[in-house]
Amino acid sequence: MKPSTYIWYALYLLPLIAMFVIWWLGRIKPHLFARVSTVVEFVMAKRTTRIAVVTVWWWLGWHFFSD
Amino acid sequence: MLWFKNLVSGMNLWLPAFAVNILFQFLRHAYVDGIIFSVASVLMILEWKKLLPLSFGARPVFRLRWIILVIIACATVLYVNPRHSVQDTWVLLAVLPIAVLLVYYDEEHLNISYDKPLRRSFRSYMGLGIFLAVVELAAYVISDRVHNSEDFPTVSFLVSPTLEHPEVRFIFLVIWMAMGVGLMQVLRGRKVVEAVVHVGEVGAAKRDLVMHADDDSEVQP
Repeated sequence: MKPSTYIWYALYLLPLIAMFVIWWLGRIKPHLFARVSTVVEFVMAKRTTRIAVVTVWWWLGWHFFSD
Repeated sequence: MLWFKNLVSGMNLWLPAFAVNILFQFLRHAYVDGIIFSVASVLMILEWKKLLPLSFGARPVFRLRWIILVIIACATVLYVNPRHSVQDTWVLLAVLPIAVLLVYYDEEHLNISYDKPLRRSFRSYMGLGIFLAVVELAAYVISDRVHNSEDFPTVSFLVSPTLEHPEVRFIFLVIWMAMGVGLMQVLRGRKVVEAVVHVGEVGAAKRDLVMHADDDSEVQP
């Protein structure tokens, strides 16, 4: 494995770590970041967005488990 | 250009993203994936243009024990059967109508103000999500060009080998379904369950009232 491959691992891991930090900040510093449940409720309020998000979610399961 | 402006007015930004995705899926000969996103896009267009007045009533909510039971049952099927088996496909297909049911509920009044913390969180999650998607796409394109997935791994390339183990498959399915429960917000606590049941009861009472009113009007000369 080339050293450059680790860059790809970092590119996948860093955003996930950042998401985790935002989730955590939403719990301990609500004046800075909203809780993830609030964000989900806000995002899923529109039905067109719900269709899109649920499609992406279901496709992930389909892709990894069945496809 | 006015006709174009009118045409795209009120369009959800997921739609162009799906259009690019559909094109990409067909280009990589993943026809089933392309069809899945095409069907979703059609549903989104129908919803956007108000051509499909479909609703299955108030948003359903479930008790935690039922959700756990369903998740464990589905995960067990994946655990005991080999990967890509017919049973796996049936589990995934069984989840689909439930997901559709949970999308088409009556519109609710949103009691959330789009304040600074929410705006910041929303933009951060969205930015990171787009970033991840671009990294995945770049890895796919480069690995396809140079025929080297080892050095330019996609998420599928990293995750797929681990899913050959039934234990990992079990854990992944639990995580995946828990994500679905979180996204669709079907577990909303006892108070919300009671509130939704109350809304349902009020609705039923209203329907009864209308029916009685109709009956009375028929009896009167």
